[in-house]
Amino acid sequence: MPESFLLEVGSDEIPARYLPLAIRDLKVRAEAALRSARLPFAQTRTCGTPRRLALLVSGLADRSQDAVSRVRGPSVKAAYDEDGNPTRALLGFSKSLGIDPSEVTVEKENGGEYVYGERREEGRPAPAVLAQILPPVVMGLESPYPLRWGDQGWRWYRPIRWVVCLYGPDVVPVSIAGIQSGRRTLGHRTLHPGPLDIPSAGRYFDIMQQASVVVDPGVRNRTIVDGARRAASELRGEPVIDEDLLSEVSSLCEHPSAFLGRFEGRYSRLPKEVLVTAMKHHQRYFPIQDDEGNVLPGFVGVRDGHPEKGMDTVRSGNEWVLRARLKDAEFFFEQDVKVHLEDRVRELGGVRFMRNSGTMLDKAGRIEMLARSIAGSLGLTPVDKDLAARAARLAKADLVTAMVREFPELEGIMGGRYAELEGLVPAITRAIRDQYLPRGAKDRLPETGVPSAVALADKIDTLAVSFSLGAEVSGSADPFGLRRHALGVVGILMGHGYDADLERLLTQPIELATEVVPDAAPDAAVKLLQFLMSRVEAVLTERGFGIEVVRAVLGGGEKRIARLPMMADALTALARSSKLGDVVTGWRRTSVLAKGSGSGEASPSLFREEAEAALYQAVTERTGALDSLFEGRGYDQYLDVVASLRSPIDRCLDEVLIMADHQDLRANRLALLKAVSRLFTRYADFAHLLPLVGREG
Amino acid sequence: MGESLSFCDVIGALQGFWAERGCFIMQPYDVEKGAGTMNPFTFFRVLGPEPWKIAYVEPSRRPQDARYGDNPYRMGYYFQFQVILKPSPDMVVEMYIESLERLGIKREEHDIRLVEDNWEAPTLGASGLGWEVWLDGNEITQFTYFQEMGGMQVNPISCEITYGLERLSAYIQGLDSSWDVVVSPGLTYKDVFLEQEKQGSAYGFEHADTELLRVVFDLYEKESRRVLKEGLILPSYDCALKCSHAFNLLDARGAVSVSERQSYIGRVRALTRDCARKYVESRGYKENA
Repeated sequence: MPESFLLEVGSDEIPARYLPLAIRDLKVRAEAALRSARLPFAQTRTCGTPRRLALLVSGLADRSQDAVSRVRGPSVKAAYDEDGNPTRALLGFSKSLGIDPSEVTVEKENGGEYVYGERREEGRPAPAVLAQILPPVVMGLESPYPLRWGDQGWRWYRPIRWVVCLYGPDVVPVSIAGIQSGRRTLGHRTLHPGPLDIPSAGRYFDIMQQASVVVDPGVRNRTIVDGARRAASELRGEPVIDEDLLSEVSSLCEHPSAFLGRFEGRYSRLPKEVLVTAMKHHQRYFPIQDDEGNVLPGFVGVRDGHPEKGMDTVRSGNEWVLRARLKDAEFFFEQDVKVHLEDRVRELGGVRFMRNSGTMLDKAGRIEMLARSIAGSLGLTPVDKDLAARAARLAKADLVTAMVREFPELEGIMGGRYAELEGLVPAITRAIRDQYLPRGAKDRLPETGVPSAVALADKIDTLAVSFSLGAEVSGSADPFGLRRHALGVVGILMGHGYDADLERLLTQPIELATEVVPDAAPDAAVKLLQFLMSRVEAVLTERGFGIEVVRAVLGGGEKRIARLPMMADALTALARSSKLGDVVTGWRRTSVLAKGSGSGEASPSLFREEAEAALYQAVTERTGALDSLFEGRGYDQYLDVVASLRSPIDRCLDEVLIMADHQDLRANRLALLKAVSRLFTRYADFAHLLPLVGREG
Repeated sequence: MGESLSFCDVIGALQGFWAERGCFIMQPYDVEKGAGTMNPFTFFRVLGPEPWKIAYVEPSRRPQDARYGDNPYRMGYYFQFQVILKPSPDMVVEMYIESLERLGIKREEHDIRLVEDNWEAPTLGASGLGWEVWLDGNEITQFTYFQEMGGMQVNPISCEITYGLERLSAYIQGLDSSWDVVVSPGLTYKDVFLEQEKQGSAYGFEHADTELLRVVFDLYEKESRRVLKEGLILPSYDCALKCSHAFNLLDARGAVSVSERQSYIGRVRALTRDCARKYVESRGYKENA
């Protein structure tokens, strides 16, 4: 009869960042293992705390199912001798299946004849199956940094300490990481520090409750959120709860109890970001804010323990730590505002940028120049170009402030704050603040205008220097976070729709990098462009464009990357329309011959045939319109016009011998084709669309 | 927290607790070092298969962390209480919590949490996985399962528990600053150590002779290599510790560029690694690197 099943793996505290994944993976792995062992079940559920992972299965059958599978054996030729007696090959085969040689059947397959036999596997009792499949399910949970413990070479998140394994009321004997299963679990470390016996799988949640363990992360999350709201309401505020912090806090306890802590009001004059960093990142507290978003002088902490007992001690202990941190921060802040950012720039000479590439002062000088010219490429006004240069010069100054030395995650943000306090204009303070944005794929972009120019200058400079140093990014090896920088560059240009040419943006940064890096890699510019374009490819793919369209559009000549999504849109539409064949054929017929031919312009005086003059005329008539459509981003129409060249192209190539004996005529005809093919190749490499032809519509 | 323990009582209580659990209570090692892990009775003894259980107070010198006595917790000379348990016992975390109870910290009245913190000591070629222990939000202990030492994987695994004595005592005594900690009746931490901290800070940041320190580093490095060839592993390691301290002073003086820094660290690591290898070889341990 089906029964409930419980597996609880008890351990030292599993790191918070792995716990949610571990709970999820356990479910996936367990279900896969049960299925492949043919052990039917109604439902599985996993949950856990830092000290335990639990797998609960309802309606688990008491036996695995019998299975019959057909197995192919040797060919008939090999299976029987001339007299039709079974050979050693057949005897071996049937023995391996546990059947008599006479039980095999013969079937034709791929022109040959083979013997087939049935492998019968009998179902086994659930406990025996579980003892076999569970250890690899648990030990195979993946941790990026598994810990080895004891002396048997076991590796897991943290040492495994006990295993409970129950099928209904019975212990299923299983050994995981050298530990024999039983029914004994351990309670909460402080609220119920002792063993408890679990009488049967179905009683697990009761027993956990007795043990003061909230084993379901969802319940812990709700308890924390409710408690945090209640605590914050004492200050007439709302807790600021972000999902990551909630998950972390919830994964740090077995029995969460939220409490309100306070700090002196005078610390509220510290920049909001400092307060939030001290609370969130360092202490895992939820900050509290009022309706207007002001940070209130208090926090919500979460204790792993009783909601009341000893709570005053816990509260004052936590307040004590935070106060010490804020006192430090206040001291740093007061020291920092005594010195102007401009005066700190000089100190950057004592801070290295990267190995063999000078100091941060050198970098400040470079990005000052770059921000100015990039601002130009983004079409900013002369005034904004000056502002961008000035912001870039000051951008790195906060690296030598006490606050950023203490809280490195506040780089940029503090600089922006200090700039504000100095009374610098918003364009500058925002540019300093936003220089590191976006920090990830989902992060916000720097504001448009001056901040974007500065953020681009900083990132492109870092990339240019790294590639000049010969940096290689591959797989997991990305020591300087170059992928993130590249994604930032691409994100800003595409996200804000800047019509700047990526390739040209790299010229000056590479030159400047060459001056500071000894023996700069000669192929840095090429490799950097490739690297950035590979990020563009990733972005386009992520936006849902088909791979053929993405490759096609990247294979064209356009490096104003903000245009590529529109161009890809038009190509996608083309790929679904009847004109795809016209465009692809037009491209193919002109570019195959034109490839490799010289430059030179076609001259009407050398035309001898009507068809070539007609093609020439068709193209000449359309060139002006095509250029302005291309520049004006009328990409759908552009492709329409290009498609309309199909018939003059076909006619010309059908009627005219391009590779004429006469050299001048031949060169002239190739020049004509070259000119026509350029209309295609500047848009895309249509070779990638060939497989789509005939599938449109 | 009722009658609070003095600094001295805290040390006494921890020593008593761990002695009862079979640890040999050792005295500090007499060569400057940045952390208790560098003590040769930890560094070497966690290699190889023999069980090893010791506990000791270790002064740590970190010239970079000196603050002229201005910072309540950060100082260039301070004390760690260090426990090494090899192999790591099954219920070691529970044992640790019991040690806090010995200090009058009743578990049900506090919040004790283990927050992931992995550890690396590049000069020792050492790494470990473990936690910081938070007591009511205060980081009071570093708890580590060593994974590598001297560039070699260790087996069996040792557990290292490092209590921050100043912080722990300040918290027990309800003080805002380590300098106010009562070390014994009528005597505070600052009465004993503040002057040393001030002068030590001034020396490390302003006055240490960088040329001399570079020479000292080079000479001890040479000596370390020379005596290791003679099979004198422990004296060679002492010289490596001297190098490490000279480097720390140079670093505090700001006399080391970023790339130089890597090279100094690499040189110390090479010395300690060679000592560890020679030790493993001389003890006849099966190489498991």
